[in-house]
Amino acid sequence: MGNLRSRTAGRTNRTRGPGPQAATRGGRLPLPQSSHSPPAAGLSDAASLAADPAGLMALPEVLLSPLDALALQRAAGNRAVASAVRVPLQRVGVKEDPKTETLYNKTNASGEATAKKYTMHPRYQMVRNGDTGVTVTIAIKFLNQARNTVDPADPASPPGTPPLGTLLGDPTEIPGGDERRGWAEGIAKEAATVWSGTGITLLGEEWNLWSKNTKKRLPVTFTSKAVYGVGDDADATVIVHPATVVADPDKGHPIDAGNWYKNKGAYSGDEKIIAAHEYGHLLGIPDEYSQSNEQLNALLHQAAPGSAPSVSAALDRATVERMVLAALRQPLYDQLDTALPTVTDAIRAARPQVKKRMADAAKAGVTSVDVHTALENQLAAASETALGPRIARVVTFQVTKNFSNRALAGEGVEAGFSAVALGKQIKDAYWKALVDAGSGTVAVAGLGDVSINVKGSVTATTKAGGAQAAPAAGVATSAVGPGATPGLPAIAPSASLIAQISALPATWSAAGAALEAGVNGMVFATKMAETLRRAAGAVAAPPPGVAPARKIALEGALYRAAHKLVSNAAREAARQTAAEHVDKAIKPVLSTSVADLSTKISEEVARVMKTTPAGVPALGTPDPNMTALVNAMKTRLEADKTETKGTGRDPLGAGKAAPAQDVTYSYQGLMGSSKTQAIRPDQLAALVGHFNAKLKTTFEKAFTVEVKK
Amino acid sequence: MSRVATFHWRTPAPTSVDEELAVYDDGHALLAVRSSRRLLPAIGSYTCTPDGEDLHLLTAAGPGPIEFDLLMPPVGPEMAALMSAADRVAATGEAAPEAVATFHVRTLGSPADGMLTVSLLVVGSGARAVEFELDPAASSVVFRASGQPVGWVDVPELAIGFVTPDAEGLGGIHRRAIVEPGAYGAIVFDVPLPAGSGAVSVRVAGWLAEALPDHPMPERFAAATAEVPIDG
Repeated sequence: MGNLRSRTAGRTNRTRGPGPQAATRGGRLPLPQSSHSPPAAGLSDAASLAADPAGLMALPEVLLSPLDALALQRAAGNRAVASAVRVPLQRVGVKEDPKTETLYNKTNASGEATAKKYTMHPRYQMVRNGDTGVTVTIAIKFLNQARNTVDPADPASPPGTPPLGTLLGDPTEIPGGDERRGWAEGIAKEAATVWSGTGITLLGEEWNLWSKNTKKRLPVTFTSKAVYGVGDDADATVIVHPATVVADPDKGHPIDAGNWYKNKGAYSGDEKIIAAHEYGHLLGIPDEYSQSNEQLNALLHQAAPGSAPSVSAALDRATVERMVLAALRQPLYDQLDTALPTVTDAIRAARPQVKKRMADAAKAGVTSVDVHTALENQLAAASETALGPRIARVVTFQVTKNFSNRALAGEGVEAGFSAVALGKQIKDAYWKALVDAGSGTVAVAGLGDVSINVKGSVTATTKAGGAQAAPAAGVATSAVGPGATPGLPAIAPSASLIAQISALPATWSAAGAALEAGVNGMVFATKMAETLRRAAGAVAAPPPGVAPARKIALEGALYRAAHKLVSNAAREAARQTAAEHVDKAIKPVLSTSVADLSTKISEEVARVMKTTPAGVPALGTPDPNMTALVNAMKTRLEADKTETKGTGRDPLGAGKAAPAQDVTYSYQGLMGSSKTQAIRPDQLAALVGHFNAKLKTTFEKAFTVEVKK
Repeated sequence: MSRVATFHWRTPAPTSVDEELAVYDDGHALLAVRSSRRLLPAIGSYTCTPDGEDLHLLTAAGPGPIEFDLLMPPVGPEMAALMSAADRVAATGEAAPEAVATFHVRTLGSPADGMLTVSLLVVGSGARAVEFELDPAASSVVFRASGQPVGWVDVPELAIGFVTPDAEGLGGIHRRAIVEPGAYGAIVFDVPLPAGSGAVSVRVAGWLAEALPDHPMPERFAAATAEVPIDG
């Protein structure tokens, strides 16, 4: 009660939303909306907002003094008073001062991330529809304007030519009926729909004197409004380029927040997501990618202040792990390259058993209906109609009497098991496994998924001559195994990667083993039929500039064509089957090897950064090379953190230094990487603040925000 | 021959531009295009010929790598000059493919029973073979009507890679495709056709290998074919 009294009696000159505070301006309370509602059209008109700079709709008044209201409140409770004074629709314009943000999205010559300051201009309209919801609208002005497409560096360019892409002259109105209008309006609507789809709801409570408080849930709907007049008021302006102009960064036409292109060419970007991201900036939400460790910690304190310290420590350990893994990637790959002959020799030694198995598969597979049909179809398409009746006989001959299953299967296996092919296949798979291990996101409690981006300055430390080259080489040799020595058999520890891969062929001949499952008539037939189908497709619809092949007119040519197709397709089926057999065999070994290495890195990071002295003996004797690497990366991270300590989320905006960093972080949400459309409640603090300041009634507690996804 | 400077043009998803200019101590440069900022349906490497002034500017920048974020303006006049020089050098590669794969899409016949048969073609060009592997799980078929997206579907699991008209395998699935200059091949597959579709394109994703002589390892690529009308 005391609170209510002070709120109603204490505010005499505030210019806020409708309610008792507003009424005090003239000693009158506004009438209920039901009897004096303003015209609906006016509510969505940006011009009317401009005429109402205080963000307060002009409302009629009713004869009810503050004391009358207080008496009614005491007698009947807040709800009665609220229902007497509330209008269903209240609208305010929000225009914040320009906000700055600091992004570590540049790289210097040492490969470190460097920072730059950017500015955004939050501005939108917010409408409260009684207790049923809130609508946020951003008015976007779509205009026409040319950009400079002359490279100022071109000697032929006139003096004073501005940079490529500079907007030239003054913007003009997009003509009525121009297709750009509908197109741009559609994208803006889709951007707003992305925000509405995040399920943002304001949660509030209204005080009641004699009964339980009334809980309120106001779902927030986001919309956009297109305007086209040069002088129209709007929250943002976008230049829409016509279909005759192709987006092309090299020619002064990059797609960005202020320039949309109807003709994207082959550009794969999704304007909807880009527009949704920019929509977030107009709501006052900064970017959350390319953040320093200090910035991410500030973000953590914003999103989950209670758990931030422990989460930050865990994130630091994950960061050092990623730094070590990134620094080891190239040395590990190089070590496998050195040791490769040991591996390929071991796999190549298994060729006889694979060839035998493949020959049986080819014999069974070539007679399948699918192969027969595919071959007939292709020959029919490639031949003159007169040869049609002979095709079936030709096909039967080529897949039976004239089919050399042993030779073709052998050739396919030889191709797939060549040292060069195996080397590329194994090294590619290892590199991908290493990249995958270092590129996944980490789940940060209270925040969400975050990617850790290790910069080139870290990987440079393990290059030849780098400070960590020696310990990295030591770890790589230990994990992969020793390099091959000419004339001498390599002796690799059984736990090493090359020893494990080399041991694989010994398991292939067992009954029910991978060779039996992966190399059989059904697999061979599928691959051969698909090969023939692709060949037919390449003939039927060649790429631009390739003339259609001439039709086969003679029976001899038909036999030769059929023989070539069958031989090539069988060879390719054998080669692909062999390659997939190796692929399936080696990938689990490579994944396990990388996982084991990651575990060792984690253990060492925990030992160095987390374990108490009493717990150290239980972890065993550390690998001195791994210890050196972990300590070196920990030192780099700590130096980065020390240099930025206390500078917060926007150091450059606060006039502080933003030293170069070895690692950056990107939140995996709509305002971060854009890989998901995730939004967090803490990002909407300013929006909720504006709501509470301008649209909450006296009888309501401050609203909070909930996000469903 | 060793690398003396590296420049990256990159943007975050969804645009995901990824081009890398590598400058070598013998004065030549190679541009690796893994996701084109020029919107081309091509990936691979191009030979660039920097003039003396640009070469000096680029090598003086140090080993880097230096990254240019295309969504943000360059920081300061020095970085702007460096970016302009790198742009000029990269542009010289347009006419000199070293090992390039260009993707096209074709439809085979008219849709039947709600299904469309699609042929994804690759054409090699340059002075040596281009090497890459497809990632079908990251690739998709995109349908449009009157310039607006109608829907998209995943590229199905593929039993085999690109194949020439003579049924020679070029690879590309579970192993690298190796496409010599002038060679071409197709991958044919069926996809469900969203109602109202008038045109189709394919977003091709995978790993590009051997793009730079000192970096043979596979790195992610993405390219989108030009769209073609759907018959019938």
